[in-house]
Amino acid sequence: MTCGRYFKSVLLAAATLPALAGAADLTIENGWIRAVPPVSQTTAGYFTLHNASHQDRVMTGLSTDIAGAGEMHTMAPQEDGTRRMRRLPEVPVPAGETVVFEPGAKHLMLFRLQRPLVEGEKIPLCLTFSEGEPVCAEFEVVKP
Amino acid sequence: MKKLILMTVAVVCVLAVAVLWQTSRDSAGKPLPVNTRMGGQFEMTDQDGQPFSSEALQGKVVLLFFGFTHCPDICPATMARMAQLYKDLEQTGEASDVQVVFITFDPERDTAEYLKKYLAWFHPDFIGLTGTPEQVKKVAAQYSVVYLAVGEDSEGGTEFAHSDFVYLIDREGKVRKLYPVDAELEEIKRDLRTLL
Repeated sequence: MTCGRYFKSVLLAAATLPALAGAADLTIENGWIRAVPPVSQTTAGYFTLHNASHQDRVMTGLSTDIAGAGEMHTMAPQEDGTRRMRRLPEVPVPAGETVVFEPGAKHLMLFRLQRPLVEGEKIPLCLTFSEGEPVCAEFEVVKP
Repeated sequence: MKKLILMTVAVVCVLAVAVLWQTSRDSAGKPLPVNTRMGGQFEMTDQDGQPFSSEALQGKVVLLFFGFTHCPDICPATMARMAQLYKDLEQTGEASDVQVVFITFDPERDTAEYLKKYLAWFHPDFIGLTGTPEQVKKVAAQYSVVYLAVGEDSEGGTEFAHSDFVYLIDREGKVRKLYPVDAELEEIKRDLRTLL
């Protein structure tokens, strides 16, 4: 490798660092999945997501082997006193801020569970973003 | 000056105790009002596939919740809370006259067989009721429950917007109180005991 090519490689590596750092700056805490009856093929997931970077991020979905499909949903109170679940195509995670998914509000909806979940087991789950790498964590199955 | 401060503190303490005592006396002494605009007799199908009449609940204090089992958040959360409450009552020997009832407004997916498996996981004593769309519509109207099919989720399943109160019903089938799904269990237990 010539000196010039080496220098270019270093520059390229330096240029990609912020993107890699972006993934590391996003952290998932308190991830858990609601334990549901074995017959049920639908459940919900909850977590707290910190964006410690200086870059706004946009969450676009999730992936986990345990579910055939997953979506982000919110629970919105309606004027008639009902609450309606609505799919969120994306969730902004502004720089320096925290987004909370919790019961009765924003939650991950997991469809087509591949098997019954066991209380206490840890399920690997990744959140995906419009840019950058997914952020993954283990979500504990909890019977609240 | 010191004496004045001490006297003021003493007076405030006495007043606080008096207010607390009066409050607890009121909540313990006043019977829960009867909601005359809700309730009534209904016929449905229970989790064993047998015809079910609301008359079977006479003599029981009932906690009633309307929902659907494909709801991933509010409905299982509420049933888990009802299970916790019921287990607490079992421990204190008060559960025998209490009945938890779940009525689905999604009879197409919530068959009797499915409801039986779903509810048994929360507690085998719970009753699950399903029925024809007309029966569901009637009982929902009797309890002023609002439920609307608002489209399909990405899996093709019906999504519902729905009201989500828990109903406390006395031994005569009269509605005595409605609770939001995040109500304190202690409050529900306290009210329920006044009906036992």
